Amino acid sequence: MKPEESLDVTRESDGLSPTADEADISGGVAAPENKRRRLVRSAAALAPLVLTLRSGGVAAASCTGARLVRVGDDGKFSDAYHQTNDVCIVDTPAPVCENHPTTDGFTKVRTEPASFAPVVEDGQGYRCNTNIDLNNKIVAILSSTSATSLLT
Amino acid sequence: MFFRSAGHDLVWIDWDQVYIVYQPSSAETHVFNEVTALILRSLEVGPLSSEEVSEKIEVALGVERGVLVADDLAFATMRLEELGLIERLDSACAAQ
Repeated sequence: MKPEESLDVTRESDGLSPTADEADISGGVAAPENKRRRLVRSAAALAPLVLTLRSGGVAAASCTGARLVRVGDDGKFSDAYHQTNDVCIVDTPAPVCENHPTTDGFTKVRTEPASFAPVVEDGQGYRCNTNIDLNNKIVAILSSTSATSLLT
Repeated sequence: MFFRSAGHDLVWIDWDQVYIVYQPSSAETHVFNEVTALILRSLEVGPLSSEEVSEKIEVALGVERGVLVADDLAFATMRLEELGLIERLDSACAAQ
């Protein structure tokens, strides 16, 4: 999960209360605007924030984004979007929400009730770390970010 | 890599540069910062490449070109796509 942004605030010199450590920001700024604060953003402060909130009753009724992958007859699947700590929903058929795609790719799934298993690397591909037979089935994968939000 | 808005209506609450966003299509509530909001709003006009999205955000925020880290943008677009808020397009579809 990306950190929340932090901002470095540098006050423009307004001539009213100059201090030695105030930044002097030059530029063609109109006189009244000299008194406004300007935000100087670092690269860290530009990190996008994407959090999804959960609350018990809503979680039971909501659909959340997931991706569907096709598990091979060896129990493995490929996943171009894999991230560490991704989670499989091991229920089959995958609990896809009404009117959403049921083939490989992004979709929306119901997460309650659902059973989960971690995604683990296995050679050139991945598998769901479970004893449930998922061979040749379509399985929903929750990103680590999405799975984490389910716990809040 | 091109993206476009998925066209879902969202309910936005602006809370001092943090946005609480309700997504009726999924009954989910999200928290976005200004950068994420700019990603979504830049794509409302039409499909854009990752580079174009970066440029629009940097111009909107008044920062130097290249300050927005490509990996950060990639994470955000992947997550927004997962949430069904944006769609990924191949170059051919974006050109139409």
